[in-house]
Amino acid sequence: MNEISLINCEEALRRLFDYLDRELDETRCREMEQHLKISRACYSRAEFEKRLKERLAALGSEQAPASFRRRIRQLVADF
Amino acid sequence: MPQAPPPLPLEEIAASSTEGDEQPPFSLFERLHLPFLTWWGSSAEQEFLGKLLHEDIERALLELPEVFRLPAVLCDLQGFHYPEIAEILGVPTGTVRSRLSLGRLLLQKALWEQAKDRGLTPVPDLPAIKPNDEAP
Repeated sequence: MNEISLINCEEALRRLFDYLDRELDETRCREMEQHLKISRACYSRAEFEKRLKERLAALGSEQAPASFRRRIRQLVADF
Repeated sequence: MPQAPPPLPLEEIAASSTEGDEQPPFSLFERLHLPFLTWWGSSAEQEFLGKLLHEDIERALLELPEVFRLPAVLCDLQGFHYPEIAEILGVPTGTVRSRLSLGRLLLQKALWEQAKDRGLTPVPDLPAIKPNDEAP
């Protein structure tokens, strides 16, 4: 397991969406989590963005039109 | 006579807006924290999100330009990863990241405007943070 580095708030904000979207590798993810433990401002921001993302996800599970879902399935099938 | 340069494609605008040290043009989170900029941990943003209706969020999403709406739908509603979205849309992964980033800012701004129209904003929209508007 790689050593993690301390990151500052600027770097944490730059990585925020990658973190919430689960796009970070394990080391960068741990660096982010370590920063969120020590920066209340970044933690609050991350919580806010996470909740908004959850509201959007709920939209997809309940109300995405069938035509849109068909289009997505077709696009994925055409990979 | 020299021709005017063509307008930049949206993806270049999106990419340039997220590079460098410039602050993003709008942050709903920071707007909600405006009165308490030095006091983090307020519940203002959670209360605000709680007041938003399903329809508010759906409308804001549907009103996004398609170039930003598709990555947002694929990522946030459908749960695809960035490389998958890049393949579906036929663009580089960095472009997906840029479009998601700018799309989220636009979505939050739209939500703020909708909430303002419905009287849901927790604080008045102060003229001081809108330098292009004339104070009443």
